[in-house]
Amino acid sequence: MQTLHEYMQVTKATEYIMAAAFLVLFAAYWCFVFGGKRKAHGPGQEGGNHD
Amino acid sequence: MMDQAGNVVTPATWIRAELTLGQSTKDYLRGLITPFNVVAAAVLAVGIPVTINRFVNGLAAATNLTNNSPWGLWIGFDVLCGVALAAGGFVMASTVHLFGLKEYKPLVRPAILTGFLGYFFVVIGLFFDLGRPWRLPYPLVYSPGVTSVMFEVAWCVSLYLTVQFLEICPAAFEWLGFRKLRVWALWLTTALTVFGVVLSTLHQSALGALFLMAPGKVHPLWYSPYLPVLFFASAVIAGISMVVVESTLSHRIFHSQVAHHDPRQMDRLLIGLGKAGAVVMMAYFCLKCLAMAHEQHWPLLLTPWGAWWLVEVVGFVLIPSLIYAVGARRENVRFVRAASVIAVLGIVLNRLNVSIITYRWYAPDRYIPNWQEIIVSLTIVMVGLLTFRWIVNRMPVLRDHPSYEPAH
Repeated sequence: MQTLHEYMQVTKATEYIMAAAFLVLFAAYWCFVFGGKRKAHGPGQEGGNHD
Repeated sequence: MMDQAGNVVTPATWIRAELTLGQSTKDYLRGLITPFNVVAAAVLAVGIPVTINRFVNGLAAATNLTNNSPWGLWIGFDVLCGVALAAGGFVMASTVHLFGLKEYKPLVRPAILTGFLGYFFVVIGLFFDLGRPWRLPYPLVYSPGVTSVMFEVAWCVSLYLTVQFLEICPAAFEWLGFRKLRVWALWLTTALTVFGVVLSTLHQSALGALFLMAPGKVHPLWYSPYLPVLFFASAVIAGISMVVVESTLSHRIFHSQVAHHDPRQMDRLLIGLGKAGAVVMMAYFCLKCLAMAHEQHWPLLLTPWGAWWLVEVVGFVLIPSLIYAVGARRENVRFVRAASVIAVLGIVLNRLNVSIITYRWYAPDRYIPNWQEIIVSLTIVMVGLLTFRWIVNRMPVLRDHPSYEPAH
């Protein structure tokens, strides 16, 4: 890279590519998290109050 | 006055029923001897004399703070971590009252109480740290510094503490039997929630903005012009995770109050929070990476501080996000609970990294908190826990008051 302008072009391009990749990753992650099947849960517990 | 069953009782009966939990004074005092209370008493036994030392002999006698390191553990942990971890109040209030997810209502009051006590004890921690604590109200009434981030933090925290106090008032009014005041307090809910979200957004990000003026002092891997955004995003994570942690602990410790709750319903709520935690943490992870890329600090990742940055971002952000995601997808609440603990530790680590650990990382005279500072922080946390327990044992926070429409 010969000039500051070229340096900034490369660094900014890297950032924008990273941001685009993260957007795609985030969208895929959202689908993964909110996907999945439902199932029943286990029992709870019992107990007493004191300070 | 009314008792828990809604019957009208005399003040003396109410005091016995509510203040000593239905026991005689002798039995109540005898019942106070528990392992947790013994530990609490030990902490207070050391903490109170240290507190007296700090206020009688000044900061130099009780801290390792210097002109070069004026902010130490009390700011880094009690204020920064305290404010972040108290964010559950605005997160849950907005979830229920603004986004309309009414199924999360059982989690709102405990979250707001945690938030209110969190902010209250942040102010207590600030009293310890300020050189002239009696001047704490100055930004509000005497010396407005409208170009100062600190001025904005002072106003927002004061107003938000008031908002959270008003939001927890319905529980207190139900306990005291003040029906008309309760109606008035409930009527304010939506407005208070909106105001609370605005204030939280402002001050959570402003706490990050406080470090914008120290680009040469915070390590480059942690410094970013986007610190306010990062602090706000991590506060949302802290809020969600603390609600999971607090709910888990409360359901174990106060199980008699929540015995009527369907545990499967509570698990579904926690899994829902796990989903939110997963996506917010992934967004935060992406923001952290982008902030580092923006500053072009890639070579620093190969240094020891770079390894520490990776420990924080990968170990305490990416990994708990993935655990949240797997827990949410498989509907496994244990994964969600584990992820919440790691996430809370991660937020604490991030705040300590920015304010203490990587602050003036190059200096030969690094700040290390002394034992008195650690004891004061422990004391403040302990008093906060005792206050939380006292309130939850008496007021309808985890349970419904029989005389009023259920909050749960």
